[in-house]
Amino acid sequence: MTEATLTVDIKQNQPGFQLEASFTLSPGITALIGRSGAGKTMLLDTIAGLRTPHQGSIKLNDMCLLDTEAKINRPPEQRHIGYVFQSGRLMPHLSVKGNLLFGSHRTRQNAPLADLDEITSLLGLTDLLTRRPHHLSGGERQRVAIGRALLSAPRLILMDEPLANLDPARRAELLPFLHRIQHRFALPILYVSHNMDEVLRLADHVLVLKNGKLTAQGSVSDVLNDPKVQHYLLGSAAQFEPETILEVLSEERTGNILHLKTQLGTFTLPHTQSAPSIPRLRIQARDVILSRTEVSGLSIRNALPCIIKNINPVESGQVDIELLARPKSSPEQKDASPLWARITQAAAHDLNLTKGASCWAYIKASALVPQTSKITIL
Amino acid sequence: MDFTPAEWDALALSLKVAFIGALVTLPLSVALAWILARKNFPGKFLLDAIVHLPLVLPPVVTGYVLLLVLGTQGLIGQWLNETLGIRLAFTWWGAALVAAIMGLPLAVRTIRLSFEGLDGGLIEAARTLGHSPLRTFFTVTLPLLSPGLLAGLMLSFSRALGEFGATITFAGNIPGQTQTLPLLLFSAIQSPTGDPLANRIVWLCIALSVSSLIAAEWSARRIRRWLTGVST
Repeated sequence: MTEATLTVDIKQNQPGFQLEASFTLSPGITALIGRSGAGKTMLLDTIAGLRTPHQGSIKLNDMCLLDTEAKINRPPEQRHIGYVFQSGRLMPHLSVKGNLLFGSHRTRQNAPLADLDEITSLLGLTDLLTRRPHHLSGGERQRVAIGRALLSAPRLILMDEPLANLDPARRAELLPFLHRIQHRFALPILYVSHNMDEVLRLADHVLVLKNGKLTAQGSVSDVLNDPKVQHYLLGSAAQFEPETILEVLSEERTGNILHLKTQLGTFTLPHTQSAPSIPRLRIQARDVILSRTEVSGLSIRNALPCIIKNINPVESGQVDIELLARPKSSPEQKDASPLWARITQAAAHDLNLTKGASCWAYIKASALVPQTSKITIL
Repeated sequence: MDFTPAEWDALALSLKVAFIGALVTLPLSVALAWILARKNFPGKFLLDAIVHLPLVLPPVVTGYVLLLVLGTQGLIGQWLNETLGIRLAFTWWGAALVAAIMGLPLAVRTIRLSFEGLDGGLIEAARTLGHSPLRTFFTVTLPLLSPGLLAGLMLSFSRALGEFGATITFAGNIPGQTQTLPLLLFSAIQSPTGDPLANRIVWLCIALSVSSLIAAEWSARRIRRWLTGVST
């Protein structure tokens, strides 16, 4: 099976709003993020064919879905795109089974991804087949909606904040299902999310939409480590605190201890047995401690030699320090990666931290323990 | 209570006329309700007004207009009679036509409300799942509309059962042919010895109305349960 690709280049004018996006979707999960009103749902609707842009083209594999110049505009039922809506949109007059099979007539033209049995066991729906949507919980409804999309033989899946209406516990329950789908089917998934931790857990790539324009795209850590993107996503300047996103290269478990290998060395974390794997670490600037010299006899194990790239004063007498850090074991500059630290202005002054100076950064590993209950709304 | 064959005839005719009238009205009402709920076009208010005319005009006027248009001397009626041999005025088919026309605005109003209350998101979802607009109409729209369809059907049926003015004007008051229950009651009241007959018809009408109300409520519950799986 060749990897499916989606190419989008569209312009949509509306009174007071303009949507302009041009991108090619890579395989895997791509998170589409941006503040409310940035045009995320509008973009998804346009790709699905529920909205027609004024200008542009959309191509899925070899199939032209839209080309305003050639006057091609396939209706939604001919686009072979599975769309999981924010509120599920299950048919109230059909059972769970009826809903799951609602789009499966399309498998006459398209090879099905999987059969009903596989989908129901993958999504844990086997005991719910005869129920009506009225008798399902929010999480169950979303699982049915996802199963319904998968059973319609799609070549692309769009998900519009499928977990947004769920409480944190239900979210945590659904994330593994999304992981499984990603592993089982070689489908590109475009996933709208408001939730930073969800993006870090699930996504391979990120698209950032700001006021209808695509402002950044690329791999999760590249895009989300960009201070400008963080500023836009993490809200008002007064509360904003930069953070560092670190890709986990490999993971090893011994008992209740988790060893995560990253570009900045191995982090050892306390860990609960059954927690899902952690693809990325998120280090808040305030959890990074700085010192001019290497300190011995500390309880903190992660020490990184750094060079100060920039010092930005922020309100409340603090400074954000942009560092270039590298693992202690590797003196080579090419292994360096960015790291943010936030300390008080007084401390920066006392330590005589200036641009270009070298220093040591210490990261308290327990600050990195992923908390599923901690929800950061972008 | 003993009913004479003439009274049984009037009852059977009333049911037949009202039922056929409501059935004819239903698909037309769905189409008109859909147009009025979903489409915007110049002159929409005019269509809306025409649909509502039978509701606001005195029924005698409606009957008289029908007579002018569809009577044997009427514009269309003459042609129908001479080329196709169809006579509507003063036949039970004419009474059924009157029933359909008088029930139409009520059915359209009810079904239009259902259309407007329909969750457009479900229709979008069906489209993304590979259902064409026509297929979506039958797999999503109609099932979700069914409570409104039933309500519209019941309203136009009840309206037709009680129809008097337009029927007597266009279809006449011919025993055994166009004499429905209200017309029979009218004749009974006109006659100096008709009081016992009138009494019996009044009871018959009450029984008929109450049982159709019960039937409507029962089927509405059934439909709601079928639609949502929730018993109310």
